[in-house]
Amino acid sequence: MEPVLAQALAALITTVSAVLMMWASHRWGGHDDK
Amino acid sequence: MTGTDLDGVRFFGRPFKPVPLGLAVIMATLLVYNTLNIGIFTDRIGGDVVAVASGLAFALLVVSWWLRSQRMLEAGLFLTALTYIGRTSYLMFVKPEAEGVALGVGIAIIAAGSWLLERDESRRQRAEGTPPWSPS
Repeated sequence: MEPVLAQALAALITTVSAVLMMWASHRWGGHDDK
Repeated sequence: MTGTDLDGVRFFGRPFKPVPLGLAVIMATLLVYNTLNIGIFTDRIGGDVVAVASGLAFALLVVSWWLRSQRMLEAGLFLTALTYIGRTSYLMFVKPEAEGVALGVGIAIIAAGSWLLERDESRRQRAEGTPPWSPS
């Protein structure tokens, strides 16, 4: 795969991962939710 | 302290957290390799991005320990996970047969999992009125 395309896809995957991590924290880390 | 500290172990009055320490070493490694353009990105822009992100993550992990800042630690772990996810994704596309892909997935899980654990427990401790990094 072309390095430029690979970098673009890696950036996309990283962004999606950040959203998923925040969602996971919100979903399972809600001990202070009262 | 949180559950990721070694109970009773202190350095300069600060808790010892083995997982963030190991991740800080990994971030320092990425910082050096990508600054010198000898990592998997060589001289591409992705390497510059990884160099900046890993440098910031390393700084956050070290400074958070010194300042006893739970929020900085969590930011450092979050950035560590994202840095490794980005690096591993790139490697997966350009050299899928490399062992670094599977190893990178494992390291990303360790970093993301450590972030989730720290975040979860610090929230619980704040809710209970015993903030993290308090003397114990």
